[in-house]
Amino acid sequence: MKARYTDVVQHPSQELMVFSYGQGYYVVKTSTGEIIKQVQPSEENKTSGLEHFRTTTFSKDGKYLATTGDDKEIRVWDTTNWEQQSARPVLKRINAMQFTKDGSQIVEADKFGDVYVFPTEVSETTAAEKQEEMKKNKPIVGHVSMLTDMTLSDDEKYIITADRDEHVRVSRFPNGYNIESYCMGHTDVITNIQLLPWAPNILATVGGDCTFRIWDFVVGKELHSLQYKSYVEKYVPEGVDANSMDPIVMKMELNMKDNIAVLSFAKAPILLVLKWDASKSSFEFSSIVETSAPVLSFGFDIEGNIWTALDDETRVAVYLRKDGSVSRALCYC
Amino acid sequence: MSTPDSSTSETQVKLPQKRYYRQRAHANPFSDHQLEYPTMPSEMDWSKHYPTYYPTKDAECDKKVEFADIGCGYGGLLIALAPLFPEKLMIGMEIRLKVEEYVYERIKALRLQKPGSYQNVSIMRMNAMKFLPNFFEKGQLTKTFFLFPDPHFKARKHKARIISTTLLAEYAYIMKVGGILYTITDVRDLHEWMVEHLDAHPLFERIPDAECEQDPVVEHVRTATEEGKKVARNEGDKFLACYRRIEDPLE
Repeated sequence: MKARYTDVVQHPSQELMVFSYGQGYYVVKTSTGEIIKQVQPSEENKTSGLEHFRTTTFSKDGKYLATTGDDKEIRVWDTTNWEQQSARPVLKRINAMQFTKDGSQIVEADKFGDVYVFPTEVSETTAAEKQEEMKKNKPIVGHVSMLTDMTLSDDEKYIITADRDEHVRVSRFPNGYNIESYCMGHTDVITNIQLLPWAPNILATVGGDCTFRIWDFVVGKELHSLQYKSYVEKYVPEGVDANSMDPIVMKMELNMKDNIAVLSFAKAPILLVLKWDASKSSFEFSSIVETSAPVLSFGFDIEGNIWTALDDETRVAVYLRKDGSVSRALCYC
Repeated sequence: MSTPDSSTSETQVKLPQKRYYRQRAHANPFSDHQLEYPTMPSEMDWSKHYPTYYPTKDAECDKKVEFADIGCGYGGLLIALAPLFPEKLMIGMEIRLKVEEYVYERIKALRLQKPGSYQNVSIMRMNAMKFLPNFFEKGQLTKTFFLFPDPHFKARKHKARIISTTLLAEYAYIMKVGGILYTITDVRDLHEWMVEHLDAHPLFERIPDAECEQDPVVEHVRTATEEGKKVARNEGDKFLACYRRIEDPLE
């Protein structure tokens, strides 16, 4: 059986998507479906089959791809030739990672509850020097519980962090010692937070409590909350999570083309599509896309089609979107 | 369990005896205790704590909790401060269940013994390291106390210490500019650790020792708590450090 994909990300400007598996990834040209590059871990880096890439992200200009996984390393890849440019050890496993706009720094949020900032360029050469550098670096933000997601505001004045204890914290960036606000209201773990690309002063948050909320995050004010449990509960198998009866959101993606939000859920073979209503400044239910297997990860290509990594032999299915309707079109194995 | 109530008219009220409420001195702040907390400060029902000021959950009340004793233990400090600041609402937060029960019974008895008094002090079982922003708004507190905190000696337990760079950001958030954060310990290493971290935090400024001595609260910080008394009995040292919440100097 081939490895399942663990993360899907879209290049910011080109027709390229990266599908991660284990310690390697495929680069797929989305206009043709052709695999243009397969990057496999070098023998020296291959330590065990369990080490999956957990988080992958492109720099804003698309020049770099950063990956991180169970090996507690951040690897930076040059996207012109997909060569690994650098590797940097980190203290804890990372749950969220982002380049600053100019690409000079990487901000990462870890399972211990801390946020660190690193220069993208790694100047240290030996492993000992890298370890030394890692230990010297102090976190800019810290929670007492595990961080699940993190994002910088569009103007990079704020850093927003979410944890498993229902807190969304807004701190100054890079002066994280100064907390601006909290977005309080969720009653279960928060798993994904993202700014609306078409209204970056608004933050969307989801997690385990079946509400999709949007916030004026600078003041911590909730603008709207959408209850979606009734749309999704029949697709979610029972006892998915010992701690929660409700479906837990695995991934949230927002698309600027037609202002939608798409959510995937743990072990559920669906995508939930929500639509932005500009006149009311709120989201409403749009549709459910049924998939052949639970969705492991997904992303939009540059045309706004949804590429899904599925937990079955199909592995990848593409859902084409046209005039509000969705059709399953292509499969790649 | 309900919270302190002064509705009965008993005259002979006995204070609870501490020996029935002993509990080991440590609790793991990272584990998920069975705690009740509001989803946000506006959802908090203070009527259970301060029925004189909050007759009902949604009663209009211009008084908000201003003093918080984090890890209040057996409540000695707040009991001493309550009559000194009768117009200020104060809350103790304690993670250990039995200790919280003791303080609850103590406040209940005091309210009955002296009707009209101790209405401004209460206790809750809470993990302050995780849930402070659920209770307090930005800039709400004017005094916070960290008295004889768990030293967590081992280096790998330092993250469990109640004063750390990242937790100080939360304390700064809930404190009013000008408010005072009090720390005291009998462990020199911990004192140095707290001073190092508070000194390094841009939103806190050390109050000179001479100025601290002018503060009427400080004598109680030294002597009113169980730990403070125990250290005095053993003729141990007490290291005090007080800090003022200031505006961000880099803004």
